[in-house]
Amino acid sequence: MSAFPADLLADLHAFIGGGPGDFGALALRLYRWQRACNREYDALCTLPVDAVADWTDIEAVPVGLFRDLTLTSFPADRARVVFRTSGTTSGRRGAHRALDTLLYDLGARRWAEACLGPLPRVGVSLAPSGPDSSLGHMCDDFVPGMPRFFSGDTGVDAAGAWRALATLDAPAFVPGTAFAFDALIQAASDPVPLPAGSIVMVTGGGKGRDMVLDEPALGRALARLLPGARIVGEYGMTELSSQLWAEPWGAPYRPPPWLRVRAVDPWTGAAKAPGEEGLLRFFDLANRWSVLAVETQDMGIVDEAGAVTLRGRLPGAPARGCSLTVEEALARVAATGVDG
Amino acid sequence: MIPPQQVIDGSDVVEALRALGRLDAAPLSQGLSAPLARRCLDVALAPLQVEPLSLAASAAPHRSRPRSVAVVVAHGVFTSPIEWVALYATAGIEVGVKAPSADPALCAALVGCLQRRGLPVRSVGADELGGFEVIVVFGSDETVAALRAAHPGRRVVGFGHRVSAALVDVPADRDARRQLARALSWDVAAYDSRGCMAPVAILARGDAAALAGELHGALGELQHELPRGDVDPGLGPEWRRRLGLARARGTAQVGPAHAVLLLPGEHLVPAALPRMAVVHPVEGDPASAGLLLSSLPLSSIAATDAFREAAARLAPRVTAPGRLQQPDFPRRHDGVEMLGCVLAER
Repeated sequence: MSAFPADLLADLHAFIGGGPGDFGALALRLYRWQRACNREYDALCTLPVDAVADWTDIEAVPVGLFRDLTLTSFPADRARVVFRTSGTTSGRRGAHRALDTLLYDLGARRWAEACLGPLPRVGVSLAPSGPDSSLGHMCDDFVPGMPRFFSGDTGVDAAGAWRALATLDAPAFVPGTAFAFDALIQAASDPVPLPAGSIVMVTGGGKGRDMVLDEPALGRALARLLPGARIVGEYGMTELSSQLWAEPWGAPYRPPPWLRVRAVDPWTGAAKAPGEEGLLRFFDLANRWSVLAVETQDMGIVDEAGAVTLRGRLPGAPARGCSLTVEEALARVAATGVDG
Repeated sequence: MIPPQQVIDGSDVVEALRALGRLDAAPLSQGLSAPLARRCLDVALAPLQVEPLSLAASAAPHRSRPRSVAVVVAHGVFTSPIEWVALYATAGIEVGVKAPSADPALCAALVGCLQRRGLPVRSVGADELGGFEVIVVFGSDETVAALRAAHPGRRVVGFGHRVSAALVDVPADRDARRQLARALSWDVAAYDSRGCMAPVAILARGDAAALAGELHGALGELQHELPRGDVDPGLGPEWRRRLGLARARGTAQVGPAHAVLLLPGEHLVPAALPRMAVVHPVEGDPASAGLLLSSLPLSSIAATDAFREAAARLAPRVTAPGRLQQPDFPRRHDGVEMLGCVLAER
């Protein structure tokens, strides 16, 4: 491993901090360093480093590989930050390792404030917490010490959350997953007006393993039950270090200048034209410690301006004659312990 | 119309199957290439001759046979219902065929051919299943469970999720190794790796890398003769994940429409992808070499001689390489008699 180049860090920091910068040039510099220092990434790439002359040619890592490989540009056992996926899809948790969250924190706050304005200083959280939750990390960074009403073990403490919301006397940041908010509104009685300037941040898709949420209906319910608050959408992933924001929730998600999104054909990987639906690939300059190019399993449309309209997860293709999907089969891997 | 429960001469059924065999196979095949669809249909029909059908259908006393059986067909291996429907029809059982909603073409053609011979076979919808004495279901475990719950008064015979694998010794002799690779390549390529008899893994004792190389060549040759058909785009990310994993932790050889991965056994995934052969090196005596498979819901294992005994302890069906997707008729399917499973319990 070689130390992260000081000049590249300075340039990334400046760009993410709001200064000038050339996305493509920075992406190629980061890519070359990651190819040199990230042995697993280098091994799985098929193009020679020098053959990649444009950021659009950078090979993206399928997000599922974060379950199988460490994908670090440093010795993995030196990781000081490990964010883990929930594992709800495959039954196994992916891990995104880093030595620090310098660029993550810088970019998260800057882009949130660019999209939403100054962030409230108090909050009520329905988001996961804990040191291995990237979402929890971001929310804690935005509003340190806000009370939490979601636990991975017990779910949403809806009564507690409603009590906390009712006592707010200053603009509040209220983050949570779509499913957490659904649980909250199921336990609602009367609307609880929030102080002007409050932000309700909905993240995560509405398609779970066992149920599908009606997102527009959830948005209407939140607007009715939490009058005074802006309802916004956040798109982030454990395997990324930057987020996209949508206001109102349901509008296209806007990426920050240091993150670009491409839609590709799910099978061939060939780029789709702006406005065409495809599998989403993200190129995130804040992902300096792992890989900057990540292929998701989400479908979406990227418009001319780079904003993203989500179209849900790539449908689980029937894998075999007995109609088991790949996802289901992978979940069984975890259950049987075959693929450790 | 032939009265139900009268054992019929298998020749009517065979004539119907011959008519089916004369149809263009590609539109029936759920997206296989025309040459592969033709080969798969021919291979599936070949064992269904008058004598074996009549013998198999006569194997059970009349009084224990149900009057009617519904066969619920899964999407994937387009020929899968043929032998079951043919057997039950030969046995004089009224047969309802519930086609997979995603692609009912083969089922419709099969039913049409049998009906034109006056045989008591018809297409049915999900809401008609309760009218049959026995329901034979192919599908996910969840589908089987759902049908059992939906038809508490009916006998439901379920064939749920199963996978298959190969367990082989790699010959030191190059010609023999090529021959093995050619056989395995057909196991992988048949039906474009769909179905519970497609090998999810090839466990190889000996020079696994050499076998992977020969498989790469053999699958490349098969592509000329029997091209891969349509691929579900939804498999793309998983295809690339496995390729990436192999490049990082093993080796990957990629052809225009196939891939051969060599990966440590810890990365065995019990789901096959279209023409992706995954070779896992194994060592030791046959029993320990097969340990990787011990937790899988196995349908079949293609085994070379030294592994046949160990394989028989792991899977209800053991076959030679190259025969994995060409099951004998009749047989015990997943350990269950094809006709016996619908007979009245004593």
